[in-house]
Formats: sequence, structure tokens, C-alpha cells
Amino acid sequence: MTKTLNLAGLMILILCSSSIHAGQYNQIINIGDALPAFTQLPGIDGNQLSSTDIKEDVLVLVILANHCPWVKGMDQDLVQLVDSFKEQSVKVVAFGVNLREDDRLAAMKVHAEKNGYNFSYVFDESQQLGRSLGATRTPEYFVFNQDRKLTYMGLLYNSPAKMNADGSIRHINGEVSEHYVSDAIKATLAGNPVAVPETRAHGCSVKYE
Amino acid sequence: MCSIQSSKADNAVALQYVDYEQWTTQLAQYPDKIVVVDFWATWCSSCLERFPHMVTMNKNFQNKGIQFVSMLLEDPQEPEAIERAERFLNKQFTTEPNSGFDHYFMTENLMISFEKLDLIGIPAVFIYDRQGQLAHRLTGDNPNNQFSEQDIENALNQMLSNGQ
Repeated sequence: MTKTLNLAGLMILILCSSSIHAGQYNQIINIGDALPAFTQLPGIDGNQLSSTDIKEDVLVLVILANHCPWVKGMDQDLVQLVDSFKEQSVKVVAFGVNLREDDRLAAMKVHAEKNGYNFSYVFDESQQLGRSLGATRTPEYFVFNQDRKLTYMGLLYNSPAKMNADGSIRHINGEVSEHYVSDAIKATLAGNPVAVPETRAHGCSVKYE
Repeated sequence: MCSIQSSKADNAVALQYVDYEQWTTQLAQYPDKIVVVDFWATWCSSCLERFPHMVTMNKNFQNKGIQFVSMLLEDPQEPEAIERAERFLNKQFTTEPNSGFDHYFMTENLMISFEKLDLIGIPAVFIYDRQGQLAHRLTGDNPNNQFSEQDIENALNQMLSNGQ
């Protein structure tokens, strides 16, 4: 009987713990959680990347999908973001998860070249990294500090941009006024808490197989 | 409350324009029916892939007191997208324009719509029981708990077998 009660208590504890560890929007991880390790993900540069290879003080992971108009809409802003931190100890790693042909590694190479990607872009074919991060939208950002604890997750900024069929780009909330990822990187580099640690990601769905 | 605006009358399939408040009221206009709401957009490729299955399900379930509804979530400032959505819908229902499947467009700012619906993204399907209570909320918001067309059918069959 005691064993039964203990087991029931343990199960309740596990259930409670799992809900505690979900973020406000993210259902898998929360601010302060550790970076999920990843190993030898193939990159568009022909090299493989593991989480242990990254030595910079701040790591930014961003999940992308070539086909997604919300990714195409912010591509150049991401390139600018990376450029703005090039003199600081910040590493940006983008990763693809979708297994459809136009999102896989060969297409990633073409998309990166076309858009002047100035950051690592790797393919998470097992989808394990995406699952571990609870990443369900493209684009969706995750900022980690030197101890590889999560300090921010969600949107790039407060007015997501979509590329239309004619190639024009429109921000759905007008001009961007809050740069969540940039602010999170600055705060994290300075060792300060991030003022807005989580936002509701917006974009295309990630298809987990 | 403002009356609900409809898109072009000569369309075989017309979108009804609602804000969030009108939508919650509109849901009550299906008394004693199970209501299946498919949230979609033309920018959502998974939604477009799923839509034909929703059309088939509508055919299979409509004589069981189940109402299928689509809710378009586009940027209201992008009329071309709304026109594109109407063209898509008309192609889906070319042979049966009066399918009984109702179609709405939420006129709120896109991010406000997601916030009010408490959704991170689409595709998503909400199923309301005959008392108007949300019985199933199928979303892709958890990588380890995605949903398929089969999950929608299973939920409906389960509700029917439970006397709904």
C-alpha cells in the first residue's frame, strides 16, 4: 500500500515537474534550462557541428525553414543581427528540422547562398534538437549564456515580417519597436537578466515526423 | 455588435468576416451540433495540405450533426492573401459549393488573433461539443504531441460513441 502511494506520489511529482519546466508558451523548456547537447550536425559548409565545439560567451540558436514566408521575411534582419555582433563573443547557429525536400540540406545551401547567410546553418535530420528545444515555429530564437542556460526564447522582434509572392516584405505590426533577440544578447553578454525572456513565437509550423 | 460582413456574393464559397468577439457569439449559432473549427492560412503549407481531408471529413460526418467550419487567419492588411484564400476555397468546393462547410475570416491583427485564441501556430483544430464546450484542442504546439487527420476523426467518433 505504502509502495503504491509512494509510486503515485512520485508520478504526481514528475507530472508537476514537467509542467513547471514548460515556459509560458514553450511546452518543453523554460528559461534557465540547459542547452540540449547536439552532436555532429551536418552544415551547409560541409563541416559538422557539435554543441561542445562552440566556445563563444553567448550562443543563439534559431530554427529556420527555407520554404517559410516568415523566414524569408526576416532573413536580411537576421544577417544584420549577426553582423552587428561580429566583434563580440556571440555565435549564431541556425538549424533546419523539416524533412521536406525544399527544407533539407541541399536546399539549405542554395537558400543560404542566395540570402548571404553569415552564420552556421546545420541540418537536424533526427529532429532531436528541435524536439528538445520545444521548437514548433519557424523562425524561433533561443539565446543561451556562457553556462549554456537559456535566457530568452521566441520572436526576433515585435513585428514579424512575411515575404509575399511578389517578393515584397511586410511587418504585421508596422515598424519594429522592440528587438527582443538583440536586447537579450546584450543583456546576456553583460550578465544581466533579460527584460522580456519569452515571447510567443510566430511563423510556419515545424513538421515533426 | 456589428453585423457579420460577407465576401463577394457571387462567390460559390463566401468568407464571413468576424472579429474575435463576433466569433465567440457566432459559435453559439450552431445549437446542438458538434462544431469542428479548422484554423488555417494560405501562408501555412501544412494547412493547405490538410484542407482536402477536412472537406472529406465534412462529407462523412455532416449527417451526424457535425458542423465543419474553417477560420482563416491572414493579415487583414493584406487583401491579396484574402483573395488567394477565397480562390483556394472555391477550388476545394468546385463540385459542391453548398457543402454545409462554413468559412470565416478573423479580422483581428494576426498576432492578436493568436493571442486571443491562445495558439502558437496553425494548423490547429478545435472541437466543441453539442453544449458549446471546447472538448478537443488539437495543435502542433508540442513537438511530442502533434496531431493528424486520424486524430480528428478519432476524436469525433469518440464523441459520437459517448452519446454526443
